[in-house]
Amino acid sequence: MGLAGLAILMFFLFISISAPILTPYDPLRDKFLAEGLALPAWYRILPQYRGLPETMDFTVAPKVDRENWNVTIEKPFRLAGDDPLTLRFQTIEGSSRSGTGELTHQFNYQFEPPLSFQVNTTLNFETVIGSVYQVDFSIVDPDFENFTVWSSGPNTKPSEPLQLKLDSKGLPFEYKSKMGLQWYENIAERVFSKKGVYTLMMRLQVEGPPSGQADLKVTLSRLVLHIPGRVHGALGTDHLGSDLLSQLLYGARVSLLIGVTASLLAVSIGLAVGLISGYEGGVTDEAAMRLVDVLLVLPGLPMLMVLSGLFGRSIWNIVLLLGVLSWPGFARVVRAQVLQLKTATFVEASRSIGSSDWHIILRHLLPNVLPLAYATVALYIPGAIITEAALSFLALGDPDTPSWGRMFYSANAFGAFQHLAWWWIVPPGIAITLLSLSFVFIGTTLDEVLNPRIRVRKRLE
Amino acid sequence: MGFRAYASRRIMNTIIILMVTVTLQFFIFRVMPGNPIAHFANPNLPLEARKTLLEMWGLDRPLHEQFLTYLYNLFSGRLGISFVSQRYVSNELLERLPNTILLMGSSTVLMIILGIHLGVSAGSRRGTKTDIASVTFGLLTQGLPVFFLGLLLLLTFAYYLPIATGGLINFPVAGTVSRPPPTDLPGYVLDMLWHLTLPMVTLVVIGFGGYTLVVRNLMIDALTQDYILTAKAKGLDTGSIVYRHALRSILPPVSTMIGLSISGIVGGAVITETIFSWHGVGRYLYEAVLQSDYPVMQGTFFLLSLVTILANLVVDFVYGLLDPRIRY
Repeated sequence: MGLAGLAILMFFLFISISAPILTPYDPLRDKFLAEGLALPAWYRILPQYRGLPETMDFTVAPKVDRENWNVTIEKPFRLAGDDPLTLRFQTIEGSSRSGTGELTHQFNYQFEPPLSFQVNTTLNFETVIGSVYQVDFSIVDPDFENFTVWSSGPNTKPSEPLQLKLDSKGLPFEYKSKMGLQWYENIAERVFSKKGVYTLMMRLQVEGPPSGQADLKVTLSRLVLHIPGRVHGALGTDHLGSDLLSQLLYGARVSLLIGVTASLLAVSIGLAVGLISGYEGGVTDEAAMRLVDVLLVLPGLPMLMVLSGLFGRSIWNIVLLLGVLSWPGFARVVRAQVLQLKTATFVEASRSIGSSDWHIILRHLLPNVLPLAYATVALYIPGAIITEAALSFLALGDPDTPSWGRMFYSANAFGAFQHLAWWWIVPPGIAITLLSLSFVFIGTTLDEVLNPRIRVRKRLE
Repeated sequence: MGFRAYASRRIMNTIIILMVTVTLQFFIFRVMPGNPIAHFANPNLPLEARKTLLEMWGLDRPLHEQFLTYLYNLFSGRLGISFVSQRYVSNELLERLPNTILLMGSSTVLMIILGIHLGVSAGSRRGTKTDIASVTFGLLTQGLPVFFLGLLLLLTFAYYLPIATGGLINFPVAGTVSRPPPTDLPGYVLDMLWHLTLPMVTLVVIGFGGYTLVVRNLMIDALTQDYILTAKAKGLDTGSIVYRHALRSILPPVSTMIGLSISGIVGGAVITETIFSWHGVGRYLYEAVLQSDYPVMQGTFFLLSLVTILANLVVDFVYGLLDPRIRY
């Protein structure tokens, strides 16, 4: 049984150390990797989820991929230059004064409609002489229905660079109504409602002056159609689109760190207080024991809550508080042990040859209490981890640290229940339970090995 | 020495602890970072109102006078006025205390009974399937975080199952009683029990494991004693041996554990109460911390400490009655 515990512990140590290798995402800073509350990728095994899209990008920048992009020009303009995505329109004498250039990219979309899409592009107008233009971005679905996503309006003149960051969720109502949608309908669901070949189109209409030259040079820096997926990764995403698997893996680090540090702190303080108070006796002992009584009587979690509320929510505060509130229990045990050891003959012998008090404490008493200390450290670690998780769940933990408790808090506060997102709630719970279990196993096995009384007796029971 | 001397020593001890606790709380809430005045007079009030409040609470007096006033207020039950609800803290606490005691009391009693029973049967049948099953189950549930089990139970029984069974299995999502509460007494009691089920199950499942494991170890230890061998040689049946001899001998450490559980009753249910929106003291303190409602924080914390200390005292008395060795 202890071996099982050790194996589980090794597993968690491994994932906490190799977390950066196992997952490329930063757990809290990499947001919008997919839609909020995306399903885990393996959900697509089930038939009804098979068609859900992953995060996709259709990019043109800055080189135009001649095979996938078409540039069509209507007369009378002449397309100049073979630069990547630089379009130049110059009038040809003797023909009409207006014309259209289109840039199209076709892609195959075979999934369920996404919940949103984004279009990012930058247009640099380098020369605009004597002409007005209109630029439109639109998406054409397999049945050739045209959805205009953005239009600059007719007779646009300015030559500043145009930077567009469009989100289908934030499009003004006029676009929606032009598409024939109600205000509450989702544009992305309507646009991508069919499976087939879609066309992403940028159209530039230029009109020259009644007489004279018209010259227009446009450089397209980027054109990206970004579709956030509805599935992502091994455990999906949280409400902001951060990867949940990364949170779980990095959370192992944080939880182990907190557990071990708080436990070591508590045991060290308890050891020190117990040794000194037990050995000195008298007033020191009385005062220390009163203090221990007072600290033991204060209710633990309420105390932690109140102190967190007063001191602020950082991870080191929590470690400190956990350590400071757990040492009294252990101090009492150490003191009892020291009282017993004090009467041993080797201590008397040592004192009779004139050893100082410190020497006796450090050289004789401490080594005898250390096994107890080791066992107690192992015992306190799961308690500290669970208490930190509880505090984070109650929103009193550090919001910048990706601990397992914080995963519970986000799950509770940002809609895991409403969306029945069990993959957000269950994994961290299982992780905490397994980790506690491993320490309990190790502790129980140590106990059975070290405590001769409950060892299985071979004779009749 | 006798019981009376022991009792009076414990009472003296308790009073000292109480005084030290109260002093500690006084300093914690006043010497903390942040404006101490904000702890008593809601900073949103106009200056005149704040001054009046401060005079009323005696906060413009020197520190030692404040301390005496604080003690007087505390022990005469004037725990302050909540910033958020503008009601007396003592009234709100009195409203919520019975709910917490109901939840924690019933859970603790059930968990002790279940835990001891399983521990005894596991210890007396060491190595058999009962033993292994009890120990495994106890170990597994002991490591579960309280909020995880609570969330899982809530998710399953109040969300998934009602959806799956079309309302057949339907447990309440929140609260102590339904709104509006049933007007007839049996209906009210039943409704409250229905709301009580999930939080109680959570607490019992998490708590019985500790008892099971400890009682099992104690039983194994006790059954190796020589007087058990004598009893067997005398011809007593297993039931008698286990329940009349072994169990009695392990009562003192078990009653220490029971004492710890009882003194943890009032303070221990914060998380469960929050998850299930139970109208109790723990959730009250939690909400006060979130809203920086300092009078409520101070009053509730004092109440929790007081109850814990008193419970410890009662447990010490019972312990003294049970085990004659420590009285003399």
